[in-house]
Amino acid sequence: MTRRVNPPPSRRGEPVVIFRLGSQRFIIASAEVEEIRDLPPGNLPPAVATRGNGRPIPVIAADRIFGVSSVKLEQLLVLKARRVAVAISQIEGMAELREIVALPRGFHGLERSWYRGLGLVRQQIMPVVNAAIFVESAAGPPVADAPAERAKVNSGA
Amino acid sequence: MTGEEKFVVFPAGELPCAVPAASVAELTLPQEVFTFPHTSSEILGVILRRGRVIPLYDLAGLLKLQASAPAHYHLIAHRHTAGVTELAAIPVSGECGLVSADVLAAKQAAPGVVGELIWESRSYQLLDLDQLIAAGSAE
Repeated sequence: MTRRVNPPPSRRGEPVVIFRLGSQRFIIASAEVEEIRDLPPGNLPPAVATRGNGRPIPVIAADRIFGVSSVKLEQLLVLKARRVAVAISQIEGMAELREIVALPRGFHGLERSWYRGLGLVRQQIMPVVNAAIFVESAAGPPVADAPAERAKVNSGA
Repeated sequence: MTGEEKFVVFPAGELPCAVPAASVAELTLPQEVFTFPHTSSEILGVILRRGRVIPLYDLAGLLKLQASAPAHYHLIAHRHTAGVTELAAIPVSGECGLVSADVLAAKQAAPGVVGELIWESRSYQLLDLDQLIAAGSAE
């Protein structure tokens, strides 16, 4: 299944996509997302996907970035201007984010570059992903050397 | 620190602790803790209180206690870091009290433990949350 992401214009807040990695929920600006695709069941995500124009783009496994282990990757977010696709567990829905709260200064690690801040959706606080990290990851060292592999990640899961 | 001041006393697991009452913003029933991936190991997650997102610190881990006990309350305090003040929450694992007491020098030097409080014949570790959290962040 392939879905185009064309959120209706809104005066109330920033349209966002909520996605899951295992039990963890994340927010990404829907303006960053061109397309959502299903991945073939039971397989590891492919290393490369194809954009609508036929051009190949690298696939980044989001669980490796955030250090979330043992999750099923079932869908692909093709990012608009970033020239990467991101393998995730599932899209949970769309919402409008009225405000992004800065990450408290107590957070001093890699999360400061991973997230634009925190969003409150349906009385749940979720991190708002900085899509640029996926591009940096695509251009960076192999996945095994990725930052989350070197750092102890506290997912609270 | 000299003279008689007010302190909030509370247990951190088995360890009786105290913080200056002036640093405490609020004591609440445990709030829902929201977690997400991060690498600041001294933080358990965040809580939402009066529209503000507040990091919840792992007090047992910061104090290097053997085990953490369930939170009975969340103590929310003002924390000063990098020239700004922000709120910080810690789990408190039992009854709290507001006491006036003299402060003695700490018997054992430990990061964030800045003195000893004696109240009703019981000894409490006086914590400086700024120092304690800074020491945990540096590890």
